[in-house]
Amino acid sequence: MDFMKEIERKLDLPAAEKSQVLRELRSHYEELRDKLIASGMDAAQAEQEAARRLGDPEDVAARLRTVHCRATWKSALLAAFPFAGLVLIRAVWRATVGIGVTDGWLQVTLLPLVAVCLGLLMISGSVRELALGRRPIWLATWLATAYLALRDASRIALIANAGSHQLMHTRSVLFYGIEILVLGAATWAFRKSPKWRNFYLVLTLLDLGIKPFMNSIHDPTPVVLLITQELVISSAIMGLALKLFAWHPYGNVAQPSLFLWVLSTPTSLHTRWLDGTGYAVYYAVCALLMVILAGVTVLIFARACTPQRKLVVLSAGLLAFQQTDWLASGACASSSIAAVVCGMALLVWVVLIPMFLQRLRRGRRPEFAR
Amino acid sequence: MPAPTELVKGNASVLILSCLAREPMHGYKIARELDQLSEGYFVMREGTLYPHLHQLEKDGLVEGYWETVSGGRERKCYRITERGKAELARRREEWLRFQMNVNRVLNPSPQAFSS
Repeated sequence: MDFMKEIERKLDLPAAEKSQVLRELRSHYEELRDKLIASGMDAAQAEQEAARRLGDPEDVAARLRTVHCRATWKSALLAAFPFAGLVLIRAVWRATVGIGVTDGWLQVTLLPLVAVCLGLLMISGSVRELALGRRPIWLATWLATAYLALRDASRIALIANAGSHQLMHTRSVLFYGIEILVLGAATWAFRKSPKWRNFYLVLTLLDLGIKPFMNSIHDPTPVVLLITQELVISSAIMGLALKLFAWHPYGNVAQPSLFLWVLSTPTSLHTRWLDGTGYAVYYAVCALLMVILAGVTVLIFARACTPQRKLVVLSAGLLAFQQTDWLASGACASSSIAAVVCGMALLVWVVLIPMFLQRLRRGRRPEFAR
Repeated sequence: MPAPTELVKGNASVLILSCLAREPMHGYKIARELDQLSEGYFVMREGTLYPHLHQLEKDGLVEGYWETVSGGRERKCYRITERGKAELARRREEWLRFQMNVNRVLNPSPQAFSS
């Protein structure tokens, strides 16, 4: 068995980090092999013995992944707070819209301004880190937060200021262009990895097709298209996050995911039957839960898991966010979709909570609770 | 007889810090030191040394640097930091207290029974 080849195959780390780790292991391996050869062993035997002494490549790789990929709490919090902040801005805006206020100073000035400041702060922080040649664990979240903050700020500002149709259209085209550029750049960046390249190629093509088609048809836009478009963007962000964030087999993310689902359900048990004040009260109550949910999602994602487990956490988080987006976008004006969404939420309460509590009773606490 | 794997795993960090407190070393040398000083008692797969070293480096207890030795071979050496020294002192103290109390329980003095 070739130890170095095997460990290179198993070690799933960001390229720069991986090359440093491999360089160090190779140095050890070669020194050990040379010493064995010097002691009289033949080359083939020495290589075998060196590999044996270094241990099982899979075990070593798994341990190294655990060390290198776990975000510190500081970096996880750095990732979580801005994202949670953005969710709070969105929740406050929706709550005020819910009670019919769209032209107060809060909607017209403060919220867009705070969102723009947040976006610019995230961009400047990210650019600084990139310029210094660093790729911190929170970079993906900051970039995604910046994009979403600026997108939301422009939408809020335009709606609150009764922006013209032309301005709305320009804004829409601008952010669509950014989306396509990011997707295209990701396709190019992952050109050496067929799996990721194809993933982003499909997303780019889907996004290229859906948006113009949506614009070409008259209102109301079919729900299926709205959902598909949201999913394309979510998948793109999720994919980038998965790729940029390092992953590791620490902890069991399936358990925190249950927590996320539990936390997210109140946000989905709503507005089909709510309007006016009820809608606003709902958002006021859920704002805090949404912020916690956003923070916890990022924290768990940054702190724990294998790719599969990260996928579970992200899916839970994204579905929770998507539910509220679908509902807020009016997608659930259709009784059947509203029934499905509420059914999913109820299923969470009925099925997942007992599982979650059972796991807690067994002493297998979710990682974030340790 | 070699030490139980779990015991070695649980105490690897302090053993490594202890080696580095004497002089800066690279992974290969740390493995040899551990083997020689313990007279073969601490048997660990040498590859598993690196996750511990990297964790110590992430925690700021040791710092790594690359050096080139004769023959052009590069190796990453580690030196203990001030934080690492403080941590080592704390762990050493903790270990002595633990050892003393285990001894007390395993070999109780007659006075302990009478009291």
